[in-house]
Amino acid sequence: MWWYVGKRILQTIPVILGATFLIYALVFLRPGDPIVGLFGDKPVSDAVRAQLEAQYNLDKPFVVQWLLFLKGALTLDFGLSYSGRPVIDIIAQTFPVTIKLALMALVVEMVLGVVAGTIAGLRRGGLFDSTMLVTSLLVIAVPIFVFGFLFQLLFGVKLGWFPPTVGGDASFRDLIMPAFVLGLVSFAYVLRLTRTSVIENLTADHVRTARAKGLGEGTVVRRHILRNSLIPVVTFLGADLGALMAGAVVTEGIFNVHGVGNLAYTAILKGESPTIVSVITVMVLVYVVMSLLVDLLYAALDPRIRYA
Amino acid sequence: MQFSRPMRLTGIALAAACTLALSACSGGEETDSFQIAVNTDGGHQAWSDAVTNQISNTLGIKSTTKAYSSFDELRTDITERTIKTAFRTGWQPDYPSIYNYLQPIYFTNAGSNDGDYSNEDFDDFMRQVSAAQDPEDAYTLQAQGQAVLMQDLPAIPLWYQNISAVYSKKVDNVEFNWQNQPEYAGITKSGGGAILTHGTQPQNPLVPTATNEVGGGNVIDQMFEGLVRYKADGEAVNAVADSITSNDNKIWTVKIKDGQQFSDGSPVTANSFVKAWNYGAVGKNAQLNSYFFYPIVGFNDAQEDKSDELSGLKVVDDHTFTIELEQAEASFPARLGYSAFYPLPEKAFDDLEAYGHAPIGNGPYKMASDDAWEDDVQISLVANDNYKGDVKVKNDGLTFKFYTSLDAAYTDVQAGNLDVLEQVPEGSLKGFTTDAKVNAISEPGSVFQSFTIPVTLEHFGMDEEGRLRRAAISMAIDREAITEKVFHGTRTPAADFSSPLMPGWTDQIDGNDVLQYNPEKAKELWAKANEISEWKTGK
Repeated sequence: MWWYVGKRILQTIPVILGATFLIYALVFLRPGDPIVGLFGDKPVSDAVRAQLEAQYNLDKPFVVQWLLFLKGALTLDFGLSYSGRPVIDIIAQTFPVTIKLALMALVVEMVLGVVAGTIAGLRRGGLFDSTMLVTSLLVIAVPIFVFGFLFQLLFGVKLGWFPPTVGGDASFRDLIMPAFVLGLVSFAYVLRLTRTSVIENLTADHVRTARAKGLGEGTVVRRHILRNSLIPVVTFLGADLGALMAGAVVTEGIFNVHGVGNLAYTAILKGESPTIVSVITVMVLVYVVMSLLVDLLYAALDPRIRYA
Repeated sequence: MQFSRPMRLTGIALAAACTLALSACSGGEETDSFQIAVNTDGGHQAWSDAVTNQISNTLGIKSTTKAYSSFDELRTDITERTIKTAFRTGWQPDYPSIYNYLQPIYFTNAGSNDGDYSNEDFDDFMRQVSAAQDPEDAYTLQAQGQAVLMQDLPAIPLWYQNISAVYSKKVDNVEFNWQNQPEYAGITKSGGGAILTHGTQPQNPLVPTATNEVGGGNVIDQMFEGLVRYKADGEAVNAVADSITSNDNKIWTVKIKDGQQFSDGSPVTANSFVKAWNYGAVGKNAQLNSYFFYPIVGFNDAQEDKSDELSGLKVVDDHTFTIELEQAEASFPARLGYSAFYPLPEKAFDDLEAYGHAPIGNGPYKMASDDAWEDDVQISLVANDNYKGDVKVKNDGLTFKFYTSLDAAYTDVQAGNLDVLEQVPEGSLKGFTTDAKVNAISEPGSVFQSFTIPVTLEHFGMDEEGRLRRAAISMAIDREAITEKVFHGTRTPAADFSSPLMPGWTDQIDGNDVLQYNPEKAKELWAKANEISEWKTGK
């Protein structure tokens, strides 16, 4: 298995090289000069402009910019943002917040989704099943910012149960509401995925055998139905953690969470290549690690899968 | 003085929409169309669509918004002169004077003359304003200069942006000054505690010559005091300066008051100013505000790194220095309250990078501690005991809480978690004045909005045809309707090229009826222009 893990980690190298190259090319092709933007509506000083462009390597061809970035990245020097802060510091500040938020959202969608999906699947066609189907349809159909603003107004401002915005310190309590909102859409998918999977397994041969052996209903559901049904769900959750981190832009904006989504969004608007590329490199790493974990989890869930 | 690029959640959606719009707009080579370029990340698309619609409907021509997804993209096209359309221009003055709305933008070859306008009559009036000793004379000359602009319309004035602000029920005495900034020191809070005010993570080190955006600028303005200070109504009064005098308006002698100190107790001397300005002007230091030193002799050499200092600045003694200007300017001292002209303490130059994160100033407030600036969280200020000036701090401190969206900040004011928000988000403009959870302020502000039509644009040159078309475009716009419908009354239709907040402002400008909605006249002028040169309308 370790050989397998090692191979997978080696595979990330070309992935990261390719991703950063692509991002550099895209940022380079983006119209507009970010340095000019720094001056606002005030006159641009040619001397200062040239100075800043040299400082951020913007006067060089993008392949050179990319190579210089890689050179720095090897020593964990991701360069400076246009505000003069080391990008590594900004990442160190924002990633923990977003990881916390994404993990909390993941727990929300996982617990609610799997529990509700299993019950709905076992009682297919029942009242609970129908209610859940309609609810999940609604959640998928309505854009996430609607829920965001609604929850914020209702639970934050009107009822005062949760702080309406998060701000700098991002405590567990602050993040409950944003995490719930962030996890909401995925909750609907997890629910539907679990439900379908459970229904399929209900009529599977090994379940029939288990029942025929005289096993109790609880054991059948837990050991034979649920465990097998979780494989597609785990795949989804693994990939979703990455999506939650990258896709938190809207939620982070509404609740004033100073996380990666916000950082990436403002950096893209400003054309701040060192920040954009560094953030995306870290995100690619998260994806790669998550998909590796998911693959390893398969083996735990399904005894037929073994890695050599 | 500073610019802001409010973040909008819909930015990405708009960016996508504008790419579509762009491809839609660029079609149809055979027909002429009138386009206004705006950046959608600042939320300008709504009004631009309304304006171009009105132009299109009134004149029967094709007129659309040209959307740029980011500010710097639009700005680059303007700076490089690669823009082929009219474009949005917003202006906030660096110091309270109508002159600062006119000279930098419309004087021949001036720094912000992005439309390449040039009119000898106008330039003459500006030279006279700059030499006028009596403010009343300057006001008259400014009005005469504006009358020239009304004839030529190098830019089409749209409206003045009102101050739209909210504050929580916990605070009182919230007043705004001429630069749309709350007078923080005067705010009082029942029950005490620091005033929590909206802020954004500063985008530059907190060095006065490096900071040109509101996030850092609002903090710096509380922590420093210049030679002169602007009262809330825009009147410039001596602050650190005891006197600023000149015989010929060209060489100015500055005397500094005795006993002035930075918050760490070190003295404010002539050198504190001269060294800070020299640093700001030198090109290799890459200070975004370096442009502000252009009136001083030696600026070009400093920019090109031929000299480490401005040769026009001479220290006479600890409390005296002289400033030599390239051109005589009677109202020069009024410029000196702008943040680029603040002093720096001697020790700042030991390590400017470290200094920029925990600056020591000479203003009414100081950093609460060396690590009072917590990145992405907040900056906390407390009253500076060593401050000797006239501003009285009436609260227990000032904390700028950083937000990434104005909507979240507005919600926090409603919930009582934030005391002051100086800019109401677009989504809340409708109805914020009647929101029972907050106190609201809506009053005229100093930001002037217009769109510039470059003189190089076909059909819009500074000839008879161009002037007719410019006037027709201006009269085709119903400013009243747009300020009501799009902005919910948070803009005021423009009557001139500056702002009602400026000293000497008047709406009695010759020829400013061209800013009134007059569809019949607009059509008539447009038709007249068509007789000179045809405007291809297609089918």
